[in-house]
Amino acid sequence: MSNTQEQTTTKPANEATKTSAVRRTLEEDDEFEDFPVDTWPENDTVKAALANDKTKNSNLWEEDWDDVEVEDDFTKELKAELDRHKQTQNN
Amino acid sequence: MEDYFYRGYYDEKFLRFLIKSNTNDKETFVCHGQGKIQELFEICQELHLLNPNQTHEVYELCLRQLKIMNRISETSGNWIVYPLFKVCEQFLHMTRLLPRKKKFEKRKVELLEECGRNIHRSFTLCLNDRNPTRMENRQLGVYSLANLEFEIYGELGNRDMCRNLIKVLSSRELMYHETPLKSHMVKFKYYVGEYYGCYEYDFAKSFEHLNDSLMRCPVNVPGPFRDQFNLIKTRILIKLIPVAMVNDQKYLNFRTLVETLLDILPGPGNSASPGVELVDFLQEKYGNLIQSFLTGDIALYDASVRRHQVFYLQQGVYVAVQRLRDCVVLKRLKRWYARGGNAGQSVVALKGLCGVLRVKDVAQIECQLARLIAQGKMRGYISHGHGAVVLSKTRPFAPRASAVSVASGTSRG
Repeated sequence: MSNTQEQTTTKPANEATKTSAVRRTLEEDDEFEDFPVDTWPENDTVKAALANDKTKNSNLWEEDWDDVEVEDDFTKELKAELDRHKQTQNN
Repeated sequence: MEDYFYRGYYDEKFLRFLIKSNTNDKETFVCHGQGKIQELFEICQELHLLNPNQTHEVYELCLRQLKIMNRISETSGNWIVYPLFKVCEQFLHMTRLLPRKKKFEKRKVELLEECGRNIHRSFTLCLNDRNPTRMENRQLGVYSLANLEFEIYGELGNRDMCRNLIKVLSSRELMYHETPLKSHMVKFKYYVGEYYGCYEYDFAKSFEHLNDSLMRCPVNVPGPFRDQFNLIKTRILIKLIPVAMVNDQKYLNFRTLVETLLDILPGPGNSASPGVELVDFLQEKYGNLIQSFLTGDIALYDASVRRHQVFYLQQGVYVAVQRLRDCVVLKRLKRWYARGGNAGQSVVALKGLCGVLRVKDVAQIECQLARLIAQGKMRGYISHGHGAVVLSKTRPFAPRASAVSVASGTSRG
């Protein structure tokens, strides 16, 4: 009699489907793809599209790293720690 | 055929004559000239007659073709630049085909090096053109030919040659700062950005070039080409995302990526679109990294690096990702400080930071803080004797470098 528990490792179903041709190309190759055409209109570039889009979300790069604040476990832990610290000071 | 050379122009028909095609769509030319043009004519004719399986013979002819094109180009105007590029490209292609045959396997490196040397001759004769007439100057071709060299040196893993190439291009007063072929400029900027980011670890320069490469890419691309261009943009972003974060603490706006950059049309069929798959791919590789960068979650950062380290290494961004750890630690300290974690004290015991940075060893804390202070990201000093860090009373954490330059009205060039 043994209590050996058979450990079955099952891959998540979506893992298998993730290895499409596109993904394989990006994961395994580091070569720049060939261009289907060599030139295109000046006003059809990423630069022009971003410049013409005046909406709030037209920035490709977010620059609020300094200011962005999130409520996560760290915030909660810190708050609890500070509360404890205040209590010990009051006592 | 000599008419092209006398009048100084090329057309599709001429290009088809230079390039060996596997189809029956072959051009017929007559040549009454002599000397170099006649020699080129004969080589091209012979090239078209060869069976594609005769790879070695085709390779030898392509080498002769390139050599004679180089000689012809020395006395030609800049109309020759594109045909010369096509001949170089063909020669590189044929060189790559050769090692598939067993007997050439050992010579793969030698053959690529030889190919590089011959293409470099074409590059040099364009670069050294002193013709004062802009419309005739062959310097127009340096970016296209440099791309082929970057490809070869990349395959050879020869970063010194890449350095030489960039050095020579940046040290010259070039008549052209770009080529009219947009795809060639996208590629050129990508290779230069890759060199600075993956080999020199100069992330400011790397960001400048990679971002420029991305900005030059097309949007609103028609159906058949859309997937290919989306793949190219993703290829650039793989390098650019970590470089942007480590250089200037900028992170990708995924909404803009979806709405503008990748041409993913809105609609219910999106989930099957390859564009959506690319967004998923970037999110899988960098999503947690960005999240940890924003929250200062060191455990999440470490887990993400462990999971994708092979990919980061293959893509040459491992060093950028590694250096990002300082930003994650800094963010955690900033949040701790902003919420009064230091309880108003400027002298903070290193032991007290163990919990904040989730580290057991004080020496490790000391090391991390020393790095941040040395980089100018944190202001203060470490008192080793007292086992404490003394923070600047006014502003212990420096704002982002570019935020400072914007506030003071200066630009970072």
